[in-house]
Amino acid sequence: MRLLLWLGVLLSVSCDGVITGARPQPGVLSPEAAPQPQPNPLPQPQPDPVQPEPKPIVTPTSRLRRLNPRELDASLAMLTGETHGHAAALLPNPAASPFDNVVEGQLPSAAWVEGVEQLANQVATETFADPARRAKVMPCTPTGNADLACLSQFIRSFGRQVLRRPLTDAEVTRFGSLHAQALQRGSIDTSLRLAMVRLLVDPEFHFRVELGSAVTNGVMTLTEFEVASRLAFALQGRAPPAWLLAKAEAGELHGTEALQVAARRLLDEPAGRAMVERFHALWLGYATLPNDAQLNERLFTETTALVRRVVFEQPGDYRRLFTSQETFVDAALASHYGLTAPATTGFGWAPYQATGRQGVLSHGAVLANGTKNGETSPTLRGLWIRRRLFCQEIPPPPPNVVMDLPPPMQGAAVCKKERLSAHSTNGSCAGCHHLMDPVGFGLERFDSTGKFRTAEPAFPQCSIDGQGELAGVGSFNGPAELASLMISSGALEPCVVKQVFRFAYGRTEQDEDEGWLAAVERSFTSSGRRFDELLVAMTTDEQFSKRRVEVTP
Amino acid sequence: MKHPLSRRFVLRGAAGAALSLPVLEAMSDNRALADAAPPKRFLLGYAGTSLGGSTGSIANTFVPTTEGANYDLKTALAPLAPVKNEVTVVTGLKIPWGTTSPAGGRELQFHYRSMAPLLTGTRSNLGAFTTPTVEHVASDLLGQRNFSPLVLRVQAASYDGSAQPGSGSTISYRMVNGRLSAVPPRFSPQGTFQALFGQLPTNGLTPEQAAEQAWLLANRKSVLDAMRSQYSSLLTRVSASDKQRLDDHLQEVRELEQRVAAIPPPQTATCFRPMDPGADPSIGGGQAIGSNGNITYSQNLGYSDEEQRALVMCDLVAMAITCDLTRSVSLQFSNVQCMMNMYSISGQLSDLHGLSHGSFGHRTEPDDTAAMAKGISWHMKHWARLLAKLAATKEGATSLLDNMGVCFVFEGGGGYDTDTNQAKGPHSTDAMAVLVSGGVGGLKRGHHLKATNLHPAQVLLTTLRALGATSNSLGEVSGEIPGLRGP
Repeated sequence: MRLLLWLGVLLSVSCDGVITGARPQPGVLSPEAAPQPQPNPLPQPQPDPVQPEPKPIVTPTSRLRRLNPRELDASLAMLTGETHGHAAALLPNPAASPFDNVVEGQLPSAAWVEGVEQLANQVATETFADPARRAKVMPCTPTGNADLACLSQFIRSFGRQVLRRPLTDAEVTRFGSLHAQALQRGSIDTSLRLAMVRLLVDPEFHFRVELGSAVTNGVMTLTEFEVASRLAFALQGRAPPAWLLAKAEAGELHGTEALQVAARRLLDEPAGRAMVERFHALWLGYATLPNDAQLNERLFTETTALVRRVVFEQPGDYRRLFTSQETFVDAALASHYGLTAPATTGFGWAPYQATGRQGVLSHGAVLANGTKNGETSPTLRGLWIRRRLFCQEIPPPPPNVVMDLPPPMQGAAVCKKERLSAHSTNGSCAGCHHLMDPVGFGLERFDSTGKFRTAEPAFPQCSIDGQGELAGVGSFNGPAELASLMISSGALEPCVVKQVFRFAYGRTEQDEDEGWLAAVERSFTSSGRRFDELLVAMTTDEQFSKRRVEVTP
Repeated sequence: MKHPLSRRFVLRGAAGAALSLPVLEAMSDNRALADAAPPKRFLLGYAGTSLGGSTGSIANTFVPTTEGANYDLKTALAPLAPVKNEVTVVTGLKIPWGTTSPAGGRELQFHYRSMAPLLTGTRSNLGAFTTPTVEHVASDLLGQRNFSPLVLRVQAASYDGSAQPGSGSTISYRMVNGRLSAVPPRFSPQGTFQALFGQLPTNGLTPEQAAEQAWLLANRKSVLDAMRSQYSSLLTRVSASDKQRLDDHLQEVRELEQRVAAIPPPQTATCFRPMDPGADPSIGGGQAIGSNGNITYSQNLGYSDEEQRALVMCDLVAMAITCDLTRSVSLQFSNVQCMMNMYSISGQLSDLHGLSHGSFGHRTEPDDTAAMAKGISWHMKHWARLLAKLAATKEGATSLLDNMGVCFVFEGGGGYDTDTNQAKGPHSTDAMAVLVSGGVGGLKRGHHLKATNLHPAQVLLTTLRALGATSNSLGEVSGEIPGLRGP
C-alpha cells in the first residue's frame, strides 16, 4: 500500500501453465580476477545514431525559490554552529518526490511565516546564550552597552553571510535601529540578538532572490553573489561559505575557469560530498528504507560507499555505478546476498562473481523501490525504473482502475505472472504496461531487500524465472543484464543530466530546456562521463549564471 | 452577527499600504456588547483511519446497537463515555463511487480519493481538491477573528516518504487569488502556543514583570514591522515573474503582524494565557514498520510523542475558542493513510494504517477491525477531553459547546471495499460515520442516528446550517440529514 501507483483490476483471465526457468546465466560481463580501480569493461556500445540538428540553447527560467528546512538548518549550522535542526521541527516540509527542493511545493502559509519568526528567535537566543556560538558570530567584543561600532560590525559581518551579499551602510543602520529600544530594559546583547532576528526573518535569507546586474532581451545576468548562491545551493545544499562570498566580493567569480575552481572546491568539501550522497539517496529512492533499522543501515552504507567510490574516490566513468563488479558489505549483508564475506572484519568490498548482479541496481536499497505490502510489484518496479533511470513518464491509468492493492487471486491465477496477465492480454492496458511489467519481471528474482529467490515467498509453488524485457532494447534476466541493456541503450546519460537539472533548478525541464541539456550532456560524455565533472559543467556553464525572466508568470 | 469584512480586503488595504494598527475593532464589537448573543463556532476533527477492516465487524466495535437517545458505546467510542450526552453518532453514511467520480463522489481507487468529497462535498479529481474545505466555509460564515480559520495538525511528520508526497499532511484548502491552494497546518505545539497566546499578558505579574513582558512584545512587534517592510521593499525590486509569489508571502507576513498587533482578548476567569507547553517533543524518524513485516521498535521511529502533542493542541484549541481568537477550527489528528507508530499510543506493533492490514505487522488483536478500534479510541480519548472542556467552559449563561457546531470525521468507513470488491474492508466509503456535537441551531445531542447511504458532507452541511448558513448545499452535496436538527 505504500506506493500508490497502479495495478489493474484483474479480469478473469487464466494463463496456461507456469513458466519455469533455469538459473540466470552470468551477465555479459566477465567477473574481474581481482578488484582493481579500473573502469569495468562495458558492453559493446551501439554505433552512434545519426546526430540530429542540435536544438537551440535557451537560458533556463528559474522561479523565486524558498529555502527548505534542510537548507535552512544546514545554512544556520554553518553560520552559527547550531545543529539542532530547528527548521525541520518548525517549518512545513514538502515531501520529497524525489527531490525536496521543488518550487511548486513551497506554499505560503501562516504556519510558514510563524515558523520563520520562531526559528529566528530560537536561533538568536541560543547563539547568544552559548559562548562558543557567540564567539563564532561576533567579530568584536562590545566594550559596553553603547558600543554602536561593534553592533554595526556584527550586523555587517553576520548580515553578509545571512543575506548572501554585502550590506550597504544604510542597511547596517536599519538593521541596528532597535538598539535604543533594546537598551530600555536590556543590554547590548539584547540589541545584538534583535539585529540577528531581523536578519534571520529577512526575505533575502529565506528566498534565493535574484535581481541580477542587467536584463537584456529577457535574460538576466546574475550578480557574482547570486552566482555564488546558485553554486552553493546546487553543490552543497546550503548558503555559500565565507570564502565563496569573498571571491564574489573580489569580483573573481566570473569566467568559466574561475567558476570551475570554485565549483570543484565546493564539491571537495564535506558538504559537497554530503550533497552528492543526498542527491543519490533521493534520486534512487533510498533516503528512507522500509525494512528493520539494522538492515536499512547496512543497505544505506553499501550504496553510499559505491556512490562515493564512483564519484570521489576513484573518479571516472559514472556508468560504473551501474556496472560495479563488487559491493561494500559486511558479513551479515554478504550472507543476505549470498556472497562470500569480505576478507576484512566489518565492511569491505566483496566480488559479485556469477550471481547475476552488478552495480547499484543489485543493491537492496534500490531494489526496495517498487514494493507494495512488503512484496515486489513488477509494475511498480518497472515504472520506477522508467521514471528514475530513463526519465520516461507513463500516462496514468484510466480512472476506473484501482491501484491500491495487487490484483486479487481468482481461481487458478495465484502466481504473479497470472495475476498480472490482464496487463498484457488486455489491449487497452498493454499499451502502457508493456513498458513496465516486463522490466519488473526481469528483477523478480531479487526481492524487496535485494535477496535472491526462485519462488514467490507467499506461494512456493510459483517459481520465478526472472525473465524480463526492456521494450525496444532487448530481453534480460536480473539486474546485471538490465544494467548492461540500459547502458547500451544510451538512455542513462541524458536522464542523469535531467535529474541533476531537476535537483539544481527545483523544477522539471521544459521543451525549451532541451537544447541546453543536450549541450551539458555533450560536456558530460566528453569529460569521460565523470559525475563530478557533470556537476561542474552544469553549474559553471554561462547559462547557469543567467536567468530567463518571464514576462508573465 | 455577521461581519461583512473579508480578511483579504481588510489586510490588503489600499494599494498594499501598511494599515494603521490596531485595526480589528470591527472584529471585536461582539465582545463589547454584553447582551449580544454568544458567538457561534465551528470545530472539525479528523482521523486518518477507516472504521473497520476486512475481518471483524464495525457492528461490534463502532456502530451503536441502539438508535436514538441512550445509545450504547462500543469499544472504539468508549472513551466518549464522559461526554456521551454531547455526542451524536451518525452512521451508515456513504460517499458514492464510480469509474469516474460521480457528483460528490470518488473514483474506484480509495486512497486519497475520499478526502475531497468528505471535506468539501465536491467530487474527487483523481484525489485533488477543487473547492474549499468546510472550515473555510464556516470561517467566512461566522466572522473574521485573528485566526480565520485555525488549522492545526497533531501528527508531527508523515513518517513515510512515498505515496502522494505531502498531500496526506494537509486536509485544508482555501481560495487564494482565485486559485485553490492547500493550507499547510501548524504542527508545532510551541509554535501554535506562541501564535495564539504569545502576546497575551500573563496574569499575576508584578509591575516590573509586566513592564518586561510589554517591552518584549514591543520588540516583537518592531521586528515584525521591519520584516513586513523588508518584504514590501523587495517586492518593488523583483522581476515580474517573482512578484506574485513574493506578494503571497508578504500577505502572510502582514496577517501575522495584524494578529500580533490585535488587541488581546480581555482575560477573564476562563480566558487567560495558558501555561507555556515548553519545547516540542523531538520529531521522530521514518516509518517504524518494515513493509515486509520486520519491525523495529525504537521509540523514535514513526513517533514524535503525538500523545503529548495531542494534549497540548487540544488545550490550545479550547482556549483559543474561549478567548474568541477563532470561530472555526480544523484539528487534524493524523495524516491521511497514517503511518504513525502506534506502539507508544496503544501498545500495538503497527502503524495506524497497518492496523487495517493485519497481513503485515504483528497482530495481537482478534481481527483487523478490533485492532483499528484501538487506533480510533486513541483519537476519541483526546476528542472527549476537548469536548469536556468546551462543555465546561461558560460563556454567559451557556457553555461554549452549546453555541458550537462540531464534527469529527474519519477517512473511511467499514463497508464495501472497492479495492478488494469484498463486502467489508478498510478501502471503503460505505458505512461511514461522523460524530456531531454542539447545541447550535437545534443540533441533536447524544443520539445515535442512522443515516443510511446519505453523504457525510450532508452532516457537515447540516452543521453549517445550524450555524446559520443559508445555502442548501456544500460543494455538490445537498440536503440536511433528517433528524439531526430539531426536536
